[in-house]
Amino acid sequence: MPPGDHDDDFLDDAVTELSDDVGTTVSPGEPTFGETPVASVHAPDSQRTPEYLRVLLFLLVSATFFEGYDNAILALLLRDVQNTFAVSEATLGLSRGLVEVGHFLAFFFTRLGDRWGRRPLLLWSIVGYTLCTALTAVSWDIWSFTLFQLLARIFLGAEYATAITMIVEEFPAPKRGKALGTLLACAALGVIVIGILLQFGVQDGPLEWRTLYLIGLAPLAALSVFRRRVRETRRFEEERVRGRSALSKLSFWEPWRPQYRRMLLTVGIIHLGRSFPLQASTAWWAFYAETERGFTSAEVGFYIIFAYGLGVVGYVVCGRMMERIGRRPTAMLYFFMGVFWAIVLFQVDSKAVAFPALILAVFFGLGVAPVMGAFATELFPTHVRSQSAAWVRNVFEIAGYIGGPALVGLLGDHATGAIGSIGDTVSLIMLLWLPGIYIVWRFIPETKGMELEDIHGSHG
Amino acid sequence: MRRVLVAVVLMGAAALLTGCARDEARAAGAAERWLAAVNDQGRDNLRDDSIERAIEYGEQSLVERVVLANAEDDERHFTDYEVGKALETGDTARVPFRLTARIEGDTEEREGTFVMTHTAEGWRVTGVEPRGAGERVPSEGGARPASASLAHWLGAAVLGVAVTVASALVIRRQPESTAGARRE
Repeated sequence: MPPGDHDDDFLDDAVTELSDDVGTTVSPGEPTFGETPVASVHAPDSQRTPEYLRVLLFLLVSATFFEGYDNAILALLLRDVQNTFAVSEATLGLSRGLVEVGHFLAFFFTRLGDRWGRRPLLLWSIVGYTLCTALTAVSWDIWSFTLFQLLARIFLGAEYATAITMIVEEFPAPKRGKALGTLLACAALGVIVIGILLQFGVQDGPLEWRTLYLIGLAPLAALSVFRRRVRETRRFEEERVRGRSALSKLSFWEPWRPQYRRMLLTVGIIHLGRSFPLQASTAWWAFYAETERGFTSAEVGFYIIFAYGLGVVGYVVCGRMMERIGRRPTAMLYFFMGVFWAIVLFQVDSKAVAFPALILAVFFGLGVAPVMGAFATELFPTHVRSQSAAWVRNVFEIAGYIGGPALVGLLGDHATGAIGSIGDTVSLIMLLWLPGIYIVWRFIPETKGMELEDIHGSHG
Repeated sequence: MRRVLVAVVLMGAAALLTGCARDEARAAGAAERWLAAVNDQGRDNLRDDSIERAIEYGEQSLVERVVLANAEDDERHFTDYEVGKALETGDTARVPFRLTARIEGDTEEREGTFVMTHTAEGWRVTGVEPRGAGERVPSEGGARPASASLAHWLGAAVLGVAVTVASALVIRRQPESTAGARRE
């Protein structure tokens, strides 16, 4: 049957439904069979209303907040979990390793953002994370705990990557850095909240550490209120209109195609080079402070609360700086200062010096996250942005999450490590962050003040 | 060629991992592991496992020399603990320690020195004595149990340069990216 006999049906099927605020222009002339009739949508510089962007940011911060919150529970309450399930340290170590595998598996879920869209992936990942966190609170042995935490990590990883992608795609260039700074600062807030809850002895209540996981249900409440107000990003809608079929068939290896491979490798190496020493230091600082510097556990808690509380400003300052002086100088400055203050932190004997050193190590070391988020997203075109961010975050960066702390454990073990000192081992590994300064300077393009369309041509 | 490269990387990783650990525990490290195992004996559900671990590194009969009689019930025995650098003399060594013991509703600072004996299984805690002159833990200004040598620092610096060069070479070999932003 010739297509012309059912023109109306044909057009209905072919036109992608867009939300009301998306302006459309239909191509002139008669559409031929197989042609997508919608030719253009909004102008590249069109913006969401400030009110909508505030609501979006509010919902997205739950992703980064619970990233910091969940990691802090595992870092600070692992011994309580061990007591509850009466398992050895070896079993606990295996459980912890399996949980981190969830970050890797998040890669497969996150890449669906380029097929389903950012909005559905965000909403489903919040639902999945919330359910798995609630299930963690009722886990009955170490293996059920491990399974629920592994699943929670998958959803949390996807939520985190999608949040950064949505910020980059929705916020106009002049406000993007500030929004990324605010979003990622909430990861530090998650750690602070855990520190405060522990000071109040929540873990000693009738439900012990399980109470802290029940708090993870909060995002579901926020989701039920704001779910309908969150929209698909305009850039993804435009991309879908341009080539829906191409989007749905994106290869797993798409970001490795020759035209993206150089940037993927560059950004990936920078992320690995940061996460390896950074995770080595954050995972071991409390242990180092207690066993090599004589801190009491109360002092460790106090230092963490105040260091993260004051260091959180680093995220905000980074967000502002990357818009004022640019991504590359901001990253290079933060990298150098992060290495410097971390080495000071792990080398000095004086607690009076260690306190500001910890604050500044958090300020620069963790605070550089907004510019890292910009590298992982802005430098890739819309149709591969989620996948590229997933490769960078869930493969390159997470390799450092596991490798960094593991290497410190091996080399710094007081009994059998080749170096035998956690402080010195972390300091040595910190030197491996410095190559990142050269790679940023030599291979990363500056994108300050540029819309995504300026970076990648008209297809953003 | 690619298989050879993968084989070289795997062999390098295996050699690196092998070089990360010593065959035998340091005296100070063994003392710390014994103290950690004694610490866990305070929790009812960890006691059996931790007694086994303590026996591996020292005498179980010495536990009462570091744990107070009025220790908090079903809690780890210490809130924190620390050991100093071992002073080795032949097959014996002295390792200073400091700990904060949990007692009913309060804590109490304790200090002393472990006497270590080298046996066929390695270093073991065989005695607990009062501190000798000049015996201090790191938080009191004493030396750390172990630290990185100059060779370690130089090795890390060389590794950093090697990582930079290797990364730059790998990146340069790739075709130019389509990301067309300006480089300032």
